[in-house]
Amino acid sequence: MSEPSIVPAGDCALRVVFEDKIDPSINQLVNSLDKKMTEVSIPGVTETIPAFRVLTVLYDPEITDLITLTKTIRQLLSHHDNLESREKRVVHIPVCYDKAFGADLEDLSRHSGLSIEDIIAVHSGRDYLIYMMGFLPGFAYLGGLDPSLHMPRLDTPRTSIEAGAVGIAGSQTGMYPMASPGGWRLIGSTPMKLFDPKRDTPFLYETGDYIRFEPVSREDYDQIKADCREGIYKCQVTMEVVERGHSGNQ
Amino acid sequence: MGIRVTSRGMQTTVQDKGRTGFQRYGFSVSGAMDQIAFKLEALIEEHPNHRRSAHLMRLIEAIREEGVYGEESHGVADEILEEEFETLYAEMAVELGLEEPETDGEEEPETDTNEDVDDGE
Repeated sequence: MSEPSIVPAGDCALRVVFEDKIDPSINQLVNSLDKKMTEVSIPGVTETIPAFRVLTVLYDPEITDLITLTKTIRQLLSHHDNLESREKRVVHIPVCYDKAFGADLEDLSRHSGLSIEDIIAVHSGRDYLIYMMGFLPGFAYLGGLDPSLHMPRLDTPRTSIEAGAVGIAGSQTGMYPMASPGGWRLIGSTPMKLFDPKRDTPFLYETGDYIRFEPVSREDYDQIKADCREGIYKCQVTMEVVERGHSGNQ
Repeated sequence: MGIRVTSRGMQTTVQDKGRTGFQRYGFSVSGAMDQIAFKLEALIEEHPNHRRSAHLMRLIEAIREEGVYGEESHGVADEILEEEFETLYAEMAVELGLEEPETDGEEEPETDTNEDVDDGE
C-alpha cells in the first residue's frame, strides 16, 4: 500500500490523505492513525477529524507547525498495526419498518423487486461500518448496503424529515439524528435519540463502529421511545471479533 | 459615539470562539468567522478572557443609519464604502459586554442585539 500524502489545509490544519477508495481497510488506516494521535497527545494538535480516506488534523500554529507535525505523523504511520485480531464495536439500533415511517417502502419494493419483508430482512441482516460522521451532529455515513437495495435519492427532497428516520440514498443507508430536509428514501424509524446533548454520552457511536439495525414492532417502538424519554433505555453495545480478512460487509 | 444595530437576525449575531473537538461527530465549530480579528479585539480590550463579540454582516447599513462619521462626512463615508466594498463584515469588541438571556441550549436564544451598543462614553 502506498504511503499517504500529507498536505496543508490552510494555516491551522493538515490532511493525511490515503488511497482514493471507499474501502473498510483504507478507512481502518485513517481510524488507526486517529487513535494513535489521540493516545500520544501531540502538543499543539487541537482536533482530528476522520473521514472516508482522510484524517484532517487541526493545530495551533503558535505551538506547532506543518513540518514538525508531518515528521511526527510519519513516525506514527511507520508503526504497523496488527489488523487481523481486532474487535469491532457493534451498536444495536432498533428500527420500526412500519409503513407509517417507511413512506418509500413500496417504491423501494417496486424498484428492487423484493417484498417489503425481504427488504427488511436484507436491510437488517448485516452490520454497517461507520466510515465517518458529518452533515448533522450524529449523522453517520454507513457503508455496506446490499446492492439489491440501492436506489437513487428522491427527485424532489422532502422539506422536513422527522428525527430518527432511516433511509436509503444510492448505495448508502443512514439515520437522521434530527429533523432536517432530505432526499433519502424513507424505510423506517428508530425510537432512539441518536444525538442528545443532555445525555452523558451525547453520541451513541463514532467512526469505526458498526451499526446493526434490529427490527421492532410499532408497540416496541412506542415503548422504547417512552423509555428513552424517561432516560431508562440502555443502548445495546457489543464487542465482536472481526474475522481475518473480513473487516466489513463489502 | 455609539453604533445602533439597525438590522438584527442572521446577519448581526453575538459570537464566541466556537466549540472545538466535536467536528468528528458532525458538529461544526461555529463562532466568529474571523478568528484573527477576534483575537485582536481581545488585545485591544486588554481582556485576556475575551469571549464574545458582536459579529456584524451589515456594518455599512449600521454606519449609514447612525452616521458614525458625523452628519457632514456621512455622504463621503457612504461613497467610500460603496465603492470599496462589495460586502463588509466586522467583529466588534464591546467594552461593556453584551447582554444575552440565559438558555439551556434547547430553545432558540432570543439574543436582543437591537439596542444601542455603546462604546462606554
